[in-house]
Amino acid sequence: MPEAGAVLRTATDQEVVTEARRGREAAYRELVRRYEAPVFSLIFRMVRDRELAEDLAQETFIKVLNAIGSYKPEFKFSSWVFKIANNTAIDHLRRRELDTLSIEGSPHAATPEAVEATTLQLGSPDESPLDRVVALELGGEIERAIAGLRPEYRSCIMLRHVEGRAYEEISEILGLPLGTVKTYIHRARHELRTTLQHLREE
Amino acid sequence: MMDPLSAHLTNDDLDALLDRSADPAVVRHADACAECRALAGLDARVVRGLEGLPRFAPSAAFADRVMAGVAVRQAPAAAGLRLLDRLAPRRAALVAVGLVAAVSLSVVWGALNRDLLTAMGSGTLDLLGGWLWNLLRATGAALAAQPWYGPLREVSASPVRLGTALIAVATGYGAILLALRRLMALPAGPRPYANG
Repeated sequence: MPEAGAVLRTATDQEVVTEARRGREAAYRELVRRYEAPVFSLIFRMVRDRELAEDLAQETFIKVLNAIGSYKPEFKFSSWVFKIANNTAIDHLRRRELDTLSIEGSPHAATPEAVEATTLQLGSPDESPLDRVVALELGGEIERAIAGLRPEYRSCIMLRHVEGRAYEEISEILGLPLGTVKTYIHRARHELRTTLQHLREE
Repeated sequence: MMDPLSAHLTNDDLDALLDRSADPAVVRHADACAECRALAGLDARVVRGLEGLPRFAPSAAFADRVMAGVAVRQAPAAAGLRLLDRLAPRRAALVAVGLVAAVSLSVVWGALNRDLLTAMGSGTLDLLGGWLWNLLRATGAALAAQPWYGPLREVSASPVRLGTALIAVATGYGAILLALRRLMALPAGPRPYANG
């Protein structure tokens, strides 16, 4: 007989949510396992501070899991999670009035250790050294360019091209009209193209 | 149909090129127009770069910290929910059967105990009637004991005085309503904004 955790790993989001609503702690943990990286990445790219991103991601999951009873299964679970994550990050940015960010660590880091701890680490350990250098260079340029976007453009562009969500789903996640979502994404891409203009000649 | 060189690509055209769902006219334009070709190329490169960005993972103890703040539903409540979930598809049928059974039982019991029901019914009606009569008498006595009852009775004895009093009350009520409406009306002019 397969182990309970293994069964949960192959279950759909809706099935795992049903198990969580039945009081299975393993199902709660499975939902965290599935979404911790995408949610943390989205929030990290919004706030550019590792420690803060962990706190906001933790706040997101606590809100999601404590409200699991009120989740409506007709909506995609991932959309609901991203909606809460985005709202949590945007609320924080509004409170701090922090619109554009630096890739070289948190703007609130007071010591060199804090700057290093909050600096974005780019690249994947699976890449070859040459690929890694190229990816680091391009990734670094793009991360820097994303950090310069307005928060609402940043959420849209990341949900579309990093998380691969459809326009309609982004509209649902952000609670914005479809036309506004398209406009934000087009403007964000336009700004990224302008910022990364020099890549054209390479 | 789009003239391949008449207009540059729109944002929607660029989207369609990225999704490989572009109209042939759009593709022809992108091939023919150096400016749009370069734009589409840069757009594709930006999107590839975005799609290739790594995902970051939180620290190892993240899930435990989350679970420390989560109230997992307790087992008895969960067991109750499980039972409800199992019954959910048949809930409507169960409610209907329960209602029909309850009504049938009450009819059978009523037919078997008609005398008892009649006695219970007449006794209850007598009791309710007595309570109502006592309540009316007590209310009348309390009203008659009020200091304003005498003057009010004198006014109502004369139709002219009663009519005058009713008109005065209606006019006063209307005036109060008008005054309240004016007080609660929203300002009509433009409002100044704090942030300019």
